[in-house]
Amino acid sequence: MKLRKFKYYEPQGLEEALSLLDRFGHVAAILAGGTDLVPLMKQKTVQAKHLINIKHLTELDFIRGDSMLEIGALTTIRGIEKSDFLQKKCPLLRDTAGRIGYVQIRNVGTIGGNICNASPAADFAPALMVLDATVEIASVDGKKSASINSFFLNPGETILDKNEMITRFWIPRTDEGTRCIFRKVPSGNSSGLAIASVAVLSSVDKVSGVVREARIAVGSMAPTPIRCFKTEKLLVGEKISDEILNIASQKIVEETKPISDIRGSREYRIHLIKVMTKDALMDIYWRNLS
Amino acid sequence: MKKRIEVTVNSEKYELAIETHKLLLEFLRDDLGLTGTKESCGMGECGACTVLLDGKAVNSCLILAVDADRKVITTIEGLAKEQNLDPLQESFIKMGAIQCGFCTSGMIMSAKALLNENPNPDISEIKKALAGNICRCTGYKKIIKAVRMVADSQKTR
Ligand SMILES: Cc1cc2nc3c(=O)[nH]c(=O)nc-3n(C[C@H](O)[C@H](O)[C@H](O)COP(=O)(O)OP(=O)(O)OC[C@H]3O[C@@H](n4cnc5c(N)ncnc54)[C@H](O)[C@@H]3O)c2cc1C
Ligand code: FES
Ligand code: FES
Repeated sequence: MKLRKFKYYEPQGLEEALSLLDRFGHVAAILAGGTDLVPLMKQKTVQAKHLINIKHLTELDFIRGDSMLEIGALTTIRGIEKSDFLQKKCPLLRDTAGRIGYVQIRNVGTIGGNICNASPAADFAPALMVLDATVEIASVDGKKSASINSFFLNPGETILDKNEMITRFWIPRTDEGTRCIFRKVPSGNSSGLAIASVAVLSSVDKVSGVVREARIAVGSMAPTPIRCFKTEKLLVGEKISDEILNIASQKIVEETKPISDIRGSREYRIHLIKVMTKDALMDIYWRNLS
Repeated sequence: MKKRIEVTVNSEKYELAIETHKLLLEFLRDDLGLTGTKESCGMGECGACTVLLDGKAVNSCLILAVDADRKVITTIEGLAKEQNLDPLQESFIKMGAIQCGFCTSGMIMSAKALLNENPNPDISEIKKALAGNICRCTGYKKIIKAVRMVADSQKTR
């Protein structure tokens, strides 16, 4: 399967990339790892007249920071999966990375591409959402930032303008005693995309068993990845019990809008998200209290 | 539109101008005649087109040939040393880990990347490393055993 011809640009630095985007953004596609874009171009779902290959912007490939973690948009999924630094600082991202696609995909696919592709099934999205990550957006006009929780608009659609790109993610440090979990049921077909996924960040008071903090985000359960603020609110301040977990997993169904598609039916997704959310919460509380 | 690249494929250096929309897979098969690398799905899902790019397993059907500029590519043709097959190739033959053979180059390249990184992988690590390679014939058991066998034989050496 071949690609159609396009005009090709290979900016050597961020500034050059941004000025190219400013000139051609309306007719161009950005190529990072290409694991989402190339299949779409082969299927002619995306027909780009210009291709801006940003692989040479090595300044956007980094994992660093202390109280505020920073991850460059061009960091590969494999780089995150293998990062010893993240194992200590943010195991949730490392665990999530290990659940994406296959080695071949993780070796080239990037975290920026995963988010900018804006698939409802993008696995980094629920994780970044519960971490309250901030997205750094750059254009010739300068840099600005936005919360990941307001970044997605529709399938394949984000708040980015045609002349903008993502340069990094900021991730605030989570409080001591907070635990995070990512759960995913992948499709049995060869893409391995989530039928449903959930990321949970929570902490509980060890003595009273009362939930101090709860953040929940889900993938493949709505037109975009979403934070489930109502379910979170319902949990905080409650003492852990089977009953409250059942109420929470019911609430999460009310907050989502799953559809039936090739990967799974609406009913199956509802079943999965209830079970996975309850299971993830129990896992966190069990480990916290024991 | 063309771009000049410099690439090393199976220890041979090439310097040439290449169409920017050409995929690495097409460059290897059509321009260099290295037809051991196979195309099946063309969508990154089956692993038949797996090659090593600077030692890492990648799907050559998703990568632009120009992205191989100043990089080192290894294909299935680059594994044998003179008359000697790579231990993985020997092991696949011995174990009968091949039926139609269409997935085999990709399987072996993924296994090669794994063994380079981790010479003594356990079964679950082998499964994880080969998860992006689909075989429609063998049922995987012999493939996994073949990889394990190489790890075992190199341990005793
Ligand atoms: C077989 C297969 C299995 C997969 N499995 C999974 C899976 O399990 N989970 C999952 O979440 N995904 C999966 N994917 C999808 C994909 O691999 C990931 O989403 C990957 O992270 C995309 O990153 P990329 O760098 O390859 O993106 P690209 O394809 O390069 O880009 C994707 C989109 O984002 C835009 N873009 C990229 N970088 C930027 C930037 N910095 N600023 C602005 N726009 C940008 C591009 O223009 C394009 O529209 C799979 C894909 C394949 C082919
Ligand atoms: S042909 Fe490249 S992954 Fe199937
Ligand atoms: S041997 Fe036929 S596909 Fe694997």
